[in-house]
Amino acid sequence: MDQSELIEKVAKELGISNTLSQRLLRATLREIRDLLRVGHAVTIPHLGTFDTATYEEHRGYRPASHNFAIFPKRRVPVFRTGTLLREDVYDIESEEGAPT
Amino acid sequence: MSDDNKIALHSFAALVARRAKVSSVEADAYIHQFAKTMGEELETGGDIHLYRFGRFHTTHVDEQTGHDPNSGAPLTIPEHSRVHFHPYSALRFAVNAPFRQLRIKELTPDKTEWRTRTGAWILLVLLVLLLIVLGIRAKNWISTQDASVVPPEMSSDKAVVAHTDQTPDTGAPATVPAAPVEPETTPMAIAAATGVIVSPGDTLWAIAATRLGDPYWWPVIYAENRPELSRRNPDLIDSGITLRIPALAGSVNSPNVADLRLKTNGYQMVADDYRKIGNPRAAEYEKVAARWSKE
Repeated sequence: MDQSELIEKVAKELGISNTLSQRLLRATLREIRDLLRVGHAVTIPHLGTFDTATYEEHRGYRPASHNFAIFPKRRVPVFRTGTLLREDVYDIESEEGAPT
Repeated sequence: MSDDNKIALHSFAALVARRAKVSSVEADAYIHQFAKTMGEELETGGDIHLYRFGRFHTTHVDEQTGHDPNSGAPLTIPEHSRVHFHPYSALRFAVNAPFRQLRIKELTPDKTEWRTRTGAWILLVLLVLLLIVLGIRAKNWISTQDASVVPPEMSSDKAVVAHTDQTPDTGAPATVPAAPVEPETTPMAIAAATGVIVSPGDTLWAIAATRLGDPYWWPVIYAENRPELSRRNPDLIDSGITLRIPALAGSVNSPNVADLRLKTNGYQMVADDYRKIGNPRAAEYEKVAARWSKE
């Protein structure tokens, strides 16, 4: 699904204009980005959690140079699927417990 | 991963509302609907592409056996789909901002890494251009120096440098414009002879090169002026005297018989004088004279 399709779909569901929906989507994404930038985690119900993970400096294989290299410390955005979405997507009964 | 950095949903909704300039209730409703729509799309197995943010997609995982981490009992994990989030570079760079200046360090440094730098190539080209310009300058400078001082020795066996002395008493101060006609030289050559005044630094080699066109013809000049040269040494001429330049019937490039005879005589004379003063070059000049006289 494209971003414009998502905007139209949400706008139709909520009964708001596409422009407002686009503005809200953009604001949401930018807010998530800015919160991740300062190190916060954002949990969106029924969807999941946007978080950051920090990798320490480590040694690893670098395919570009066909050699091992020291990779610097870095922080990456991660997304953990929420339990409710997991149950939906995994299509299993909730009492069994979702697989990790 | 810790709990203290989490943002409550209502504060997140308030932030979104302030950014989008709508009420916080609207923003809250929007976030819920947004999550619900995305969840529905992911349930059907679709991809969601969010511009400059990231891409959500699902993969299918087959049924597999595992272990219950608490009891250790074997467990069969049913087949399911898994949601993945792939952040785009705008989001990755924003999140990695505090460590942006860090670079990957190669364990074995790459010595060809400079080739990928444009600045290194520009510097290299400038250096080469500078060297070329300096080389042209140096070449011009050397050629102008050569014209005034000493010609390069073309071959070791025949190169003769005549040194000029600064003693004015031995050198004849008066010019000799009307030279006595040598009986052995051709009258035509003498008639067209022109004089050249030797200045300090001049050599017979250089004079022959400039006046006759070939430095190897210098023994001709020596032979012509030998009566006036009191030193009887082909390597030494005095400054201030006037040397007569014999006019050749042909040219140095295409000499005729008389010119070759002049040259042979000159070489023979130089060889004799060298032998008298004990110069080892005499043998070489003798050889050359003998070769031409045979021809």
